[in-house]
Amino acid sequence: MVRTVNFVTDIMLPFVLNRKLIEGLAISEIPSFKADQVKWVLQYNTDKVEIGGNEWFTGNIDNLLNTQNISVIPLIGIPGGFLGFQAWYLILENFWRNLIKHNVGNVTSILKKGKVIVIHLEITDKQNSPFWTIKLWSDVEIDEKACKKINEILETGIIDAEGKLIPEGWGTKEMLVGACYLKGLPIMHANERGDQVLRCYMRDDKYLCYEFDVMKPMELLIVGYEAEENLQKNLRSRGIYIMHHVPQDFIVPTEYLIMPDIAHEEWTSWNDSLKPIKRFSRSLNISELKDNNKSLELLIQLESEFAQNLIDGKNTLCFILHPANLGDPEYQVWKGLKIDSNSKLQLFVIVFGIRGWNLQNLQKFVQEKIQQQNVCILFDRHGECKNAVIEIAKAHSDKLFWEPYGGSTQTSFTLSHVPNDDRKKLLLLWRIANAALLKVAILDERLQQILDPTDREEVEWKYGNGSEPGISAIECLRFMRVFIPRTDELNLENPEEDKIHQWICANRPHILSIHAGILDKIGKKTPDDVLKWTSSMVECMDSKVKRIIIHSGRGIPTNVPELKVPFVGYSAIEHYTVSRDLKSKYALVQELLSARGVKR
Amino acid sequence: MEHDKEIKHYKEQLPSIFRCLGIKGFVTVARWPFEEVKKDRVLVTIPVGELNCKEQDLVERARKHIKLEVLEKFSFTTLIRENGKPVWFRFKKASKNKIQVNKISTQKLLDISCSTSTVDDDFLLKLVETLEQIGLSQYGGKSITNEGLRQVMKDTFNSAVVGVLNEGIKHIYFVPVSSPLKREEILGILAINSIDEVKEDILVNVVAQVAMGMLFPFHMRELNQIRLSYALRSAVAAIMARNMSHNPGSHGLAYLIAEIEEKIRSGQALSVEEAKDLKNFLEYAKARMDFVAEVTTYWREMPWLEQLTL
Repeated sequence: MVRTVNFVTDIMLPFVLNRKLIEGLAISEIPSFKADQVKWVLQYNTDKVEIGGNEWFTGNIDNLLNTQNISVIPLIGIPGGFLGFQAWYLILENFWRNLIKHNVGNVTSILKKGKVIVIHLEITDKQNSPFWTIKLWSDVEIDEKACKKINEILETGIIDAEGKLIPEGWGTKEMLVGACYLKGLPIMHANERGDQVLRCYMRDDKYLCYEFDVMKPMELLIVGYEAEENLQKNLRSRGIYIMHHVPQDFIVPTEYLIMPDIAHEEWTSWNDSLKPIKRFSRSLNISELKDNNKSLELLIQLESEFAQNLIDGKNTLCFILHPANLGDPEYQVWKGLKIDSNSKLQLFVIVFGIRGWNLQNLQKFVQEKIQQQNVCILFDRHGECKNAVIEIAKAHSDKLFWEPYGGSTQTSFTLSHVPNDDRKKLLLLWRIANAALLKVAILDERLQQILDPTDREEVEWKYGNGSEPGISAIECLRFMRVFIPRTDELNLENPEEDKIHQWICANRPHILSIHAGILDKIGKKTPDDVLKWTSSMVECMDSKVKRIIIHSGRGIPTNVPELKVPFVGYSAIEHYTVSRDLKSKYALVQELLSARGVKR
Repeated sequence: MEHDKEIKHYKEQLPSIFRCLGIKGFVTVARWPFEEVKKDRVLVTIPVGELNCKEQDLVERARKHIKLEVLEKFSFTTLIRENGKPVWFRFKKASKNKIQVNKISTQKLLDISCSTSTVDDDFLLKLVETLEQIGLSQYGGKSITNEGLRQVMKDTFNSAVVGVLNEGIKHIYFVPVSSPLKREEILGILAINSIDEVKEDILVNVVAQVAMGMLFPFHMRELNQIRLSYALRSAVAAIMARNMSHNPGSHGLAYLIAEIEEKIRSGQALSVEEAKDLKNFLEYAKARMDFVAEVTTYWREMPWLEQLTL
């Protein structure tokens, strides 16, 4: 339900670098405007990160990010994951458009002086609460009248007493909708308390500033326990929630759930689709969680337990990170991480040419580890290890995960921009490892056609300098434990129920995401039909974790059973799978893990 | 909070109305809010009429037989509500048990006479058979003939009917209130537990109207809330559709199309950088469309989160 994301790389960077959008929104008023004439300053306490400007469109993004410590900007929680990013963009897009539209003179005057437009996004901690407060303003001076007008619009609401849309301030209203969504508020708040949801005021008497709240990451829900209010507040501000009882059909927004190990009706009648996959039963001393280190250790234990279950508890996980050279940011951040020698997770940061590492040694190392019944997870910059590991991965698909990645990509951002705290770093490492271990099957005719089109050769991804032969995208995804059937294996444009069943049984995924349209085509037209189908299908999935998710690009289709099957938007699935640079097992799994049953 | 306000309203209004009507005893109000507003049934028991000390004692004793934990398992008012049949009930004390279906004004009246002893299985079977005949055949998704239901029905009858009548209440009337918007919907029931007999014309012409007048404003308020929330969702969809057309559409796409047009005219291909920019923009637009589709079908909300921080 709520996905934790990196505000800089997941939210801001794609927006700031969306040249056509930024320019398109300005060009009617300022025809010569270029996207590199705007700079975005993100701030938390006194720490700042700046993105935008000419070098961001021409230079190496990795380098530009590395010159700044972007980990100072806190992680945020986004309801609805990837699609929820759009709620942010509703705010940013309209802010930008209105800034240009209503202040042509002031903007032009700044540009004429050879300066850039600076937009500030300041994050402050809303103390003892699950929210960050965001302040958004620009260095363009604005008449106070604009602020008054905006506040009038926010106070008046979106619809009148008869339910009719009040046709003015469309951009402001859309910003309000975005702010409401990001805080997880009922939509009625946008109408009844607009000026509280999106606050507008003059900053330093000359800048128009918007203020709204967004979620902090939502980590853990503990049910069946009680705690005193101050402790609860403290924990909530760190993403830990305690509930003695849960309301009926409660949708758990957190990544982890700890619940009592008793067969009480309150827990047994609670549909699994409303809970996270990472759920546990254990005794806890709640007061210990007040200590941030203890709560982090608990989450690490939960991740470790989850991994043990996935790998049968008897093996060790070898996490091998292969940066291309010592200057790569992921090398810098992971090389010194100390992991307890008793831990089931070992980390090896390997650069060829350093300490005797080369392709042959790596191959030998991986082979030995696998012979010792370990599971290896290899993240490989530029896919340099491909020739060393492909044959092993084919022979031992359950023991070797391989994800090649390039610079300035989703995966390189995940591996490079990590928390400074060692415990948080270790938790992230476990999360990435578990995302790697989970077998994800995706049944979607569009993805199949993108990767293995019927009218041309299947897509290949090239790594390195391009002289090496490429690798089939579908095969590469399989090494990442993402299974998308080839057209000749299972044609999804003309799906057949039996063949789908056989394919799922053969691949035994932990998570299956299926396009609602395929269910439609095989005759599962009602929620009941779909429920029967999912119940029969889970039988042939991997016994360790079983989750069927429905995805669609048309909102929630009518055949999706309410509050019984998790749902995710199509764009998210596509975004993290079909592109060489955007594909990311970690991001894909985080998206799928945040999917829950929905109510229309 | 909303429940509290509603209950306060009933407590303020009903005693004086019934004093004017000369009806003494106690009244139970049950109202079912719309499912969309996600509230539990409103349920309150209020002493009514000009009661002397003896009558006050009687009412207090009788009210104690209305046990929530018993009614949660089975209640005749919920039975009426679930089946959407505006059937009136009258329970009265008699020398022997008897069940008859009569008429009150234009509505069906289930007339149940019961002796002072607790009900036996034969009586219960007869009652179930009659309930089924008059269309009150389902309870909690199960058939009223379900054996599991019989025991809980018996408990309710013995407590909320026999127990109350034994304390000196003469009649118990259930006055169902239908929604004027949707006749099959029972929005609430007024149960009148009277010490003296109440004339039928007072019940039909006054009490039924009072019940409607009391319960209907709350029903309408909720209906308005639901209506506005749907209107708001439509308005939000309209705003997002309009802005999608305006911002990424007429400002973003329009210039992009013009640029591509120029490329075509001059016979130039897009450079890799230009193609990347185009891809970024199209991905953005696609995700926006997906988001708009989702928001129009499902609004992800966590109202409890803000509640926790108030």
